[in-house]
Amino acid sequence: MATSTYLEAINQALFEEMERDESVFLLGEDIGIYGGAFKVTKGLYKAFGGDRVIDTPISESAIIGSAIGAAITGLRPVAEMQFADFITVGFNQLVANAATLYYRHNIPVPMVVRAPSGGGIRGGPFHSRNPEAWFFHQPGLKIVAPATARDAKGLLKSSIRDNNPVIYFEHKYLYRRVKEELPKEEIVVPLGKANISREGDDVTVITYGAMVFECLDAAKKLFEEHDISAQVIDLRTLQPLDMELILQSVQKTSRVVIVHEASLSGGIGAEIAARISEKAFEYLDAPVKRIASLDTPTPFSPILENEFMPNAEKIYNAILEIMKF
Amino acid sequence: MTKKYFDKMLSMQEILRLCIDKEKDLIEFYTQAHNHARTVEEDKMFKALIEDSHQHIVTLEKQLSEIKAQQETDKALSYDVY
Repeated sequence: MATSTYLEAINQALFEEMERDESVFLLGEDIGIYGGAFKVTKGLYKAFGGDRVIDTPISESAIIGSAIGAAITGLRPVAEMQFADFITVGFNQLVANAATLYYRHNIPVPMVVRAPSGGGIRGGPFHSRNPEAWFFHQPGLKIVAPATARDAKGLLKSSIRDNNPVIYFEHKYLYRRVKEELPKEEIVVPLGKANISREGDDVTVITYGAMVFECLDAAKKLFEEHDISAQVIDLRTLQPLDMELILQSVQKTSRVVIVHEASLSGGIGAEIAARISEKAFEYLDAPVKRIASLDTPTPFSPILENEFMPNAEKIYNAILEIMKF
Repeated sequence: MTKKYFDKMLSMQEILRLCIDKEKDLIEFYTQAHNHARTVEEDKMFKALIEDSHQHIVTLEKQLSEIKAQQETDKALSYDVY
């Protein structure tokens, strides 16, 4: 066992998959000698050379388009967006091409787009967004959002091995703040399977990414101060959603709070709430509550950003409110 | 003594490292003092002080780690030329 940060876990997954499978290669802006803006690909250029760790021009559309081209010829590209915010520049390549090629032509597109997302890092409106809901609406894409170092590693390995285009949202705030002991043995975490981060009976808290830790803090405090037992579900994969686990938990607790860092309206929480309403309405003792960032661009001011984002206190209060029904 | 350090305009990282060193010195001092304890009360007190200092180090290292993590993010943000 050795301690690894979330960022190091991603680096390890890339290294191991490149070593395991020669068809895996990386492309992105300054990911080679420089090691990427966040240094996620540090050391990989030296280990695998410039043919497999490719520096590209500053064009997300070209990066994703090249990855699609490589994927349909049998390679397994992993493309890096410097910040998830810039993925919009390659939006058409992802939703019109990558997502539909298998449906249109029966051609698998085994590619991963790594998208460093999330706020709390004082990055302002162009470097802090959580754009997963845009892609959630597009059939043909898989979406992953790990919270722990173990999942960051295991889910990336599964994403690379998957025959579908996968958008892998890695949370920038967690890069060097999450540290865990990881086993030497290979970690592969299957896509589409959520994880129960904390067992509980009174209320189900559904979340993913950096919000997992805020939910766990809130759950701990609720138990200590009010004897309320919250079951925290870390979705890990957003598309496909693990509805089986979600519904099992709802049937047990009858109360649901959904937490995500992305803005509230049209977010993934809305879809989950709708599905719970359709499939488990008779089990509910209270309306499904959503906690998310405000429907504004991400503020640059730290004080405003703190107000803008969900946190343990807001989650704690929301759960107390739900428990009153 | 405190003024001497702060007159140097230390960065928060330097301050935290200094604090950690001072806590380590304290642990050593309290450990020696504990070895000289004559009563149960003195034994308990120095043990508690040693534990407090260990806890202070955990808190200080956590904040130091937080600053380092944000520094790396800041580097990435300032590198970005969009």
